[in-house]
Amino acid sequence: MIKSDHSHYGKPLIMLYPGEHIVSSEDIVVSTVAGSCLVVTLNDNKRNIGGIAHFILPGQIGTGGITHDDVASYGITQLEYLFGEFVKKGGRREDLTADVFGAAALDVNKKINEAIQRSNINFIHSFFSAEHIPVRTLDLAGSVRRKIVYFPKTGKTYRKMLNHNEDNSEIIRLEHEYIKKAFKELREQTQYIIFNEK
Amino acid sequence: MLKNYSTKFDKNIITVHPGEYYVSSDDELIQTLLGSCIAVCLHDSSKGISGLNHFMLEGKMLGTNYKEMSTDGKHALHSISQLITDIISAGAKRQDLKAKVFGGGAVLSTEATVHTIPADNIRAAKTILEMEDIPIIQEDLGGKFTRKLVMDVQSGKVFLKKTLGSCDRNSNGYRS
Repeated sequence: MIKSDHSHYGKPLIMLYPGEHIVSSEDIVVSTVAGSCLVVTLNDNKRNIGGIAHFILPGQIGTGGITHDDVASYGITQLEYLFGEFVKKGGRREDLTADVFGAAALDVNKKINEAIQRSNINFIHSFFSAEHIPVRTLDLAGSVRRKIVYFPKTGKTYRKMLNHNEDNSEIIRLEHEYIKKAFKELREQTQYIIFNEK
Repeated sequence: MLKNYSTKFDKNIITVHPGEYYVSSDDELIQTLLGSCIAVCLHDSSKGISGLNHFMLEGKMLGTNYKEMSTDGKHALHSISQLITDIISAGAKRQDLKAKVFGGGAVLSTEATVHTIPADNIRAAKTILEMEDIPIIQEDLGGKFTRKLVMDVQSGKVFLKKTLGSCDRNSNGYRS
């Protein structure tokens, strides 16, 4: 997360890297680029609080649904961080609406990437229907990088498709790094034993 | 910022110091000296406008308390946003802008391998330019070099001189 007091929006600008999130009620602009990652923005229009998270499910979800899956639990944890920040700032879960962007297929290794892309999209659908949070805008899939500009105070989100720097993209490299790191964390976190009741 | 007359090039030459930036459309040169810092050169070839900045740090926030973090031209996002805003207000068109990025040499031999200032600077510069959708047509980043660069405003050409930084002189026996 890096910040600038000066931007052409006339407001302080914050840029998110993959894996970061922020919740704010200030008059600021948050900007990020979604490649194969997901960018979820949540806003509470009654209280003018907005939050944005940049994350990915680092693998495929099994057939058991999102509540019985280690990979999906990584995504749920990332979104719960965002919800936690929201409650700290005074937002309420029942007033939230969501916008979701990203999950593009940008990799050279298409087969693996498409499977991850599909499970990311499935995750978004089943998570928000399970949480009863209405999804206002859904812009997923394709093979394009999306720039997201988000105004937390008003809850407005702008999306732009990026055209340049496709061959030598830094964002895709950062996302790969992030997926590797998340996958490693996942492996470390899941070393636990649950004792069954008899 | 320092404005001199260069007899070698027969033009005015502007020296940009760390944390500064300069935008011009006159027939002159801009120069700067880089170690682990980054310089982003923007050029609009249809109008002949060029700009160059020089930032020192990525300006990473610790935690989520962004209010405490003050920024200025020494930090990546502030410096590049200011340069882009200024070059557009000087008459350049955003869709005609092309970028060249230089710097980010590991000139100090430190033990830190995971998070180093040069690598963070390179990451920030490339990510911000990609986010602003300005094509990077040329880059010379990383290594252990100190770079001196001179940019010609009218043509957008950049002349680069690389010398090995102080950390490599140890192996050549210059210092203990």
